[in-house]
Amino acid sequence: MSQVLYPNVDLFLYDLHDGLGVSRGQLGQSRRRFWQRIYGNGRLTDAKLAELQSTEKSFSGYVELLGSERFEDFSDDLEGYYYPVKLGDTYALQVNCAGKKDTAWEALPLVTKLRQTKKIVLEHTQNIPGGIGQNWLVWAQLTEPHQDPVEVAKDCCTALDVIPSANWQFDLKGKGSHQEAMLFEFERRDEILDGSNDNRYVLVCLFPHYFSQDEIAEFLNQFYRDLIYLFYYRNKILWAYEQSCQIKDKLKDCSGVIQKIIKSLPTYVAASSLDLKQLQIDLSTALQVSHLYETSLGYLQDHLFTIKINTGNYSDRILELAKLDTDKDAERAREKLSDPDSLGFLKRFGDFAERNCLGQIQVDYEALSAGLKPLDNFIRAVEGITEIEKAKNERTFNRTVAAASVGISAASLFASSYTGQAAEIVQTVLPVPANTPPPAINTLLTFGSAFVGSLLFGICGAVATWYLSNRIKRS
Amino acid sequence: MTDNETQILRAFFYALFQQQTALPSAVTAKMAEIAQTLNTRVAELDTLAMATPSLEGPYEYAFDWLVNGPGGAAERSMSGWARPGEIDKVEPSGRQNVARDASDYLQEIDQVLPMISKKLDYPAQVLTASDPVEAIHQDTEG
Repeated sequence: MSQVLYPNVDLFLYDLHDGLGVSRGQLGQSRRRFWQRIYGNGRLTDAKLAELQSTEKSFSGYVELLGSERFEDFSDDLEGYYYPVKLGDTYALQVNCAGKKDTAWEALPLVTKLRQTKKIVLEHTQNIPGGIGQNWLVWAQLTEPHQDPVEVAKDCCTALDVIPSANWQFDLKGKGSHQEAMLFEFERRDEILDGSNDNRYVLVCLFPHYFSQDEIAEFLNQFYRDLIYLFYYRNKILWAYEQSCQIKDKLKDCSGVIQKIIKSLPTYVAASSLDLKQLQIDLSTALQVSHLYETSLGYLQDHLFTIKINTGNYSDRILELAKLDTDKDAERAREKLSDPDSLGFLKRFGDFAERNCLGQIQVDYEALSAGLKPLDNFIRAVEGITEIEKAKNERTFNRTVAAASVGISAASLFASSYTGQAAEIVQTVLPVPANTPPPAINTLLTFGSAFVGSLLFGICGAVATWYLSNRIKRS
Repeated sequence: MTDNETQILRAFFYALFQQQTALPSAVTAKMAEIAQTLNTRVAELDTLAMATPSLEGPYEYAFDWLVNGPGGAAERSMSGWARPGEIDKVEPSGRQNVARDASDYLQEIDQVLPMISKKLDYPAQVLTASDPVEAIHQDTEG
C-alpha cells in the first residue's frame, strides 16, 4: 500500500448562476442552492444571503465571494476549508479537506484516509452536486525516490471511487508533469444524453519527495487558481456540448414533424375545393413547429458561442500554465503542450473540444438551419393558397354586390317611373265613376303591380349583371 | 535522552516504517554504527535522515508533526499552508461568456412536440384504430 505525505482532497463545484434569460426568482434560488453547501439551512438566513449577494457586484471576471476573509474554515476538529468564487456567470466552489486533527487519523492507511476525506468533503457540500459539473483533485507528496507514482495515483483514484470499477487502460486518460510535480488524469465522460452532466474526473498531483513545504505551497498557490479556471472552461464546454446534443435531438424530432406537415402540401395544391378550416389548422401547426425549431436553433447558436469562447479560453490558460515551465517562452510552452510526457494531456481535452464539440456543433448548426427552409416554403405556400382563396371569395362577393346593386337600382328606377302611371292603368282596366272614392281593390292593384313589376325588373337586372360579369371573368 | 532526542528517534522510526524498499547498505551500516552508542549519538540520526533522500521526506514530516503536535502551528497544518493564492489583477481571466441554460426549454419541447405530432397523426390514428368510432369519441371527450 502506498505511503504519502499530506494527502489532500479537493472538490471543485460549478453552478451556472446569472446566465441569459434568468429571472430574479431563479437567481435567488441558485444563490441559495450555492451557499447552502457552506452554511446549510440553519445559518443561511435571508439577511446572510443579502450580505453574500452584495459581494457579487463586480466587473471583474474573478470575484472572491468571501471578501477579505477569502476562506471559510471547517470546524476545529477538521483540516479543511471552502473557497467560493464567481467566474463571470458561474459560481465556483473549492472544498478542500486534509482529514481530521487527531493522532489516530495519522495512523490510518492512505486508502482509508482518502475515502473518509471524500466523505467529509461530500458532507460539507450537503451532497449538492455541481450544476454544470464538478472535478476532484488529490494531491500528496511521495515519501521516497523509488516510489512508483503511477501506482500511487491509481491507489488515490481507487480510494476516491469517483470512477466506479476503473479500468486503467481507458480511465487513466493522461499523465504528465508541471514544475516537477507529477500529474495523472482519470476521466470517464458522461455518454448518457439526459442533461445530468455526470462527467467523472479526478486529477492526481504528486510532489517528489524532495519538495519542501514551501515549494509545495508556492506551487499550489498558482496551480489552484489555474485549476479553478481550467475546470470552469472544461465544465462549461461539456455542459454546453451535452445540451447542444439534446437540442440537436429535439431539432431532429421537429424535422420529423416538419416532414409530416409538408407532405400534406400536394393535397392542397391538387384539391378542387379547399377545406379552409383544415388549412388554417395546418398553418397554425406549421407556425408552432417553426417557432420551436427557430427557438431551438437559437439555443444551439448560443451554445456554439459558449463552446467557442471557452475552448479559446482553455487553450490560452493551458498555454499560460505551460509558460510557467519555460520562463514565459511561448514557443517552448507550445512544445511542452505537444509533449505527451509534459502537459500534452491537458491539450488533449482542448483538441477534443475544438474538434468534437465545436466542430460538430458548427456542422450541426449549419445543417439544421437548412431544415427550416421546407417549413418556410410550406408556410408561404399555404399563405399563398389562402390569399388566392381569399381573393376568389372577395371577387365572388364583389360580383354579388354588383348584381344586387344593379338589381336594386333597376327596381328603384322601375318603381319611381311606373308608380305614377300604375293608377291610370288600373283606372283603365277597372273604371271608377267620378266623385266616387276608388275601391280597395284598385288601390291594392296599383301598389301590387308596382311592387311585382319592380321586383321582376330588379331580378332581371341582377341576373343580367351576374351573367355579364361571368362572361368578363371568363374572357 | 532529551525530549528533542526522543522526538528524533521516534521520527526516524516513523521514516523507517514508511520505507518500502531496502535502504542503501551505507545507510544501514551507519545506523548500526550509531546504534552501538545510541544514547550519545541520537542527533546523528537526524543528520543521517536528512542526508538520505528516501528518509528525508517522512522524517521531516514526522518530526514536524511530533514537535508541533496535532492541530498545532499553521506550519504543521496539513492543508492550511497550501491554498489558492490571491488573484493577480493583471492575470488574464479569459473572454467572458454568458451562457443560456436550455434545460427548462428542453422540458417544454418534450411536452409540446408529441402533442403537435399527435395532432398530425390524428386522422391516421382514428382510421387505423380497432374501433374508429370509440377512438374519435375518446379524442373528442379528452
